[in-house]
Amino acid sequence: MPALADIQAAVRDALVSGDRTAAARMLSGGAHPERRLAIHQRHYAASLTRALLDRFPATVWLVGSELVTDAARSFIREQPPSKPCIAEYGDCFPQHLGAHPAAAALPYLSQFAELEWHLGRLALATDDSPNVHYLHLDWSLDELLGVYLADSAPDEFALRHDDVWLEVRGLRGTLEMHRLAMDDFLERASGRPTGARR
Amino acid sequence: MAITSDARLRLAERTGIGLRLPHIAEVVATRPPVGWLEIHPENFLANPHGLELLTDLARDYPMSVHTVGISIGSADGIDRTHLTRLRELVDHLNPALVSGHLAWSFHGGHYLNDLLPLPYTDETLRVVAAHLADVQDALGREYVIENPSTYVSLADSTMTEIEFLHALVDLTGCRLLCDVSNVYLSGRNMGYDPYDFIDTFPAAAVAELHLGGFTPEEDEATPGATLLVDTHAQAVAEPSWQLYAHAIRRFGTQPTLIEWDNDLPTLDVLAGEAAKADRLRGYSHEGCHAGTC
Repeated sequence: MPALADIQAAVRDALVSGDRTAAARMLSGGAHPERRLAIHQRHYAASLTRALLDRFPATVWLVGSELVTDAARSFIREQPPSKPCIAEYGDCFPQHLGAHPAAAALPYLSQFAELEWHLGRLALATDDSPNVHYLHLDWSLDELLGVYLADSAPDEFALRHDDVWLEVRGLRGTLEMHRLAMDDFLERASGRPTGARR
Repeated sequence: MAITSDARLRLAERTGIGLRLPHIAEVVATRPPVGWLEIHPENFLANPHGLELLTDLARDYPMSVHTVGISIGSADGIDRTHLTRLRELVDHLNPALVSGHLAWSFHGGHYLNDLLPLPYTDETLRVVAAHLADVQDALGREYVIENPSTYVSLADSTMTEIEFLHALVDLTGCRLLCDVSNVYLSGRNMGYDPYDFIDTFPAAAVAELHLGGFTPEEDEATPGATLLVDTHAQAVAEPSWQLYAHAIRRFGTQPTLIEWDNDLPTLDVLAGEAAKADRLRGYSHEGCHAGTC
């Protein structure tokens, strides 16, 4: 009789990598019980892909769902969740997305997604929780994200390759982005307990 | 640490609904006529604003906390950090019930975001019993265990699910959440009579009942056959309602919750499902509104 740990390792491998070989020997139920694992395999992949797409709607708006979905699928395989709060899953997705082959011509994509990650987190903030974050951007991505947030559709948008020293604030669904002078940014970013990684 | 009889009685009078984030603003604004609210705490651990709204609702509605990430059957053990976060939330909300699933979702450092099947063996019994004690100690209150939805079983199980539940109750004294829809769909999927399952379920241990929608899907293991999948994406099906009527004849009036987590309906539709369960238990809605009956 296989140990519980061995059973769970085999099922985990089936879900994460798709390899049902080990799990098949341990299952019963129907003529081909290992095929019933497909329900759990589908749920694992679909639920986490959906969670990432829902977490990065502006990024989907910018580059389309096909690229983001493909990056999500590889992200789930390579960096599956390590904790049960799925709302916190995906903080490393911007970097993974930026490394996707289809993003080679989009050098700003990773930073755009990272900005969106922090906006999504800060939109849920209250007075008593971390509600400000500081980001340095290499492009005018705050203006680009502003187009998305305003639901506007300009005929043209010129993304500028600029140093942007950005303060982002959130409170109960409202968001503010403020450009700062570099010195002011560095002082505020070093002195404030934002709870953020940067 | 036991559920107070007063808190359980308040839950038992009227059916509750699962409170999901897309509905929360409307529930705050309109205070729908339902008996209580159940949350998945993992939706609020990184959502301070959501927790503020929940705190407001907790003044008018009894609350239940239904965990999805504890992984009580995990051979790797329980995530202590997650338990600490849950304790903080539970202490803040003071729910009438805290519950979770007889399942596992964590192994080898990976959280698999699903409720996965356990073999029903002596080893699993020891693991679940030990983790149950840890969880109750960490949360400072009783933790009620829910029967799973089943699509595949483990070949080396030495007990049936019913035998395992009886053994778990005998060993730990725990209470059980009987998900009636899970009983129906698991019986269909695994080839047993759901009414027999209800008739042999540890009745004295029942603390709560759940009802939720399921979705038929093709059974890849048996071409041409259908599996019922616990999607919580539809209204409660008629066979589940019939099984629920049978269950309350056996278990008596128990706190009942309508689960609807995906493809959410309007709040009116959800409240309508709760009202249907109320009628089955013989509860009259005349003169009642939010949280006052």
